[in-house]
Amino acid sequence: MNEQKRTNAQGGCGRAEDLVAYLYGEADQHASQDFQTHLGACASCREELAAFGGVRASVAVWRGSLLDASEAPSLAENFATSAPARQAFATPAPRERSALAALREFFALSPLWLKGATAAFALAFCALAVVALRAGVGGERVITQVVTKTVEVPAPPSEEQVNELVERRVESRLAELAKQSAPQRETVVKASAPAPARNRPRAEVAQTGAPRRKSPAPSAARRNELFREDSESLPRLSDLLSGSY
Amino acid sequence: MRLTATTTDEQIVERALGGDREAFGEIVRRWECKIYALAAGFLGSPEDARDATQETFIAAYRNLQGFRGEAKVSSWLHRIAVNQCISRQRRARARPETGVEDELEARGEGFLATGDQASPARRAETGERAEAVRRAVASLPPELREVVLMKEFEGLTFQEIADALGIPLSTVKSRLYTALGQLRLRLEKFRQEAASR
Repeated sequence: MNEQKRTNAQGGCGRAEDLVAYLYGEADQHASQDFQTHLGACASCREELAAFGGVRASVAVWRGSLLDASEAPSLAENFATSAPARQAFATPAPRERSALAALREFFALSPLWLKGATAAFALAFCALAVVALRAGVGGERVITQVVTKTVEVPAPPSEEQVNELVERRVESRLAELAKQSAPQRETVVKASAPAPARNRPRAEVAQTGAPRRKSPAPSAARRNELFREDSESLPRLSDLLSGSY
Repeated sequence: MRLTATTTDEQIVERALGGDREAFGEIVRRWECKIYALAAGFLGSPEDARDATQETFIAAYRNLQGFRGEAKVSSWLHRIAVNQCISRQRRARARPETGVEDELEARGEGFLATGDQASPARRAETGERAEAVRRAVASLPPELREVVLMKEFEGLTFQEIADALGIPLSTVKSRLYTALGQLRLRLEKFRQEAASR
């Protein structure tokens, strides 16, 4: 089947296109002469050319009968006056037009109420646009002020400033701690030297009010006074450590 | 600018695009007979052919913007006409009880009507021959049928057919050759059947 189709399409001698061009008179002079020469030697092409001529004659008869049926001559009038054609031609052929031309046409074809509504809408739109424009200008001022205030806010401290501040705080805190720790150290020293206190004579101990644990807690002023007296009578830690005491 | 015989189709279309409503009427007048012939050959029924012709020009008018001047107006119109005919045939086939050929046979009328001036014997002979051709053409595949009709009914050149259908020139020739070969075989068969009756 495919073989038959291929043979049909190419012709008996493979010059199908030349044959068709010759048959319809569309071969140029050189091709036409060449094919005529070929026809003299190719019976297959001669026979095919004659048969195709007969087919064309039959088609011409059919065409004549079809077009003589008096349909075509009346077509122009029918077409021009037919409802679908009138409907289609009622509007101009679509084309890319300028926006202004489209607007003009729109207004030209629109009914009166649509024109009025469009005009009212346009006015309302313009009024809104003006209001929005004014609000937009005021809003811009507010934004400017806000921006100004924002600029006035001090910038965050730099790392150096933070470090300096921290150092200053640490130093002051250390100084405070040093002040507080100095008396405490002496108190610790006194508390950590019980032996000499125990070795002291009982009268001396009674004179100073010892043992302190059993006595009621003295006031702060009294405690400082006692501490001064004790520190004068007690050996110093450095002396104890050096063994000179 | 006044429309004359020398005004090209492309110039007329340009005027139609410019808003000249009369210009497209000139296109219709120039091409309606050929488009009708193509549709009649394709569809077989004068009524269908007339409707298809009308639809072709309406579609062309609505799609005038789509015509970019790359092809001839005639090629463009023929392409639209072929599409319209194929669409109509598909719709007719979708209605099984109203196939085109059955419809024609049931009516016993249609495109075979000839002029009253012909003799009854002549009319019978012509009618029989034309009917055989109609059947043979109707049995061709659409791609072969459209080429035959464009060539035989409208006399378009190979190049014009190629432009209209968007196929190579050599394809037009080979399709035409194949179509003529198939028509030849079918017509011979019909002739033999008629002789045996």
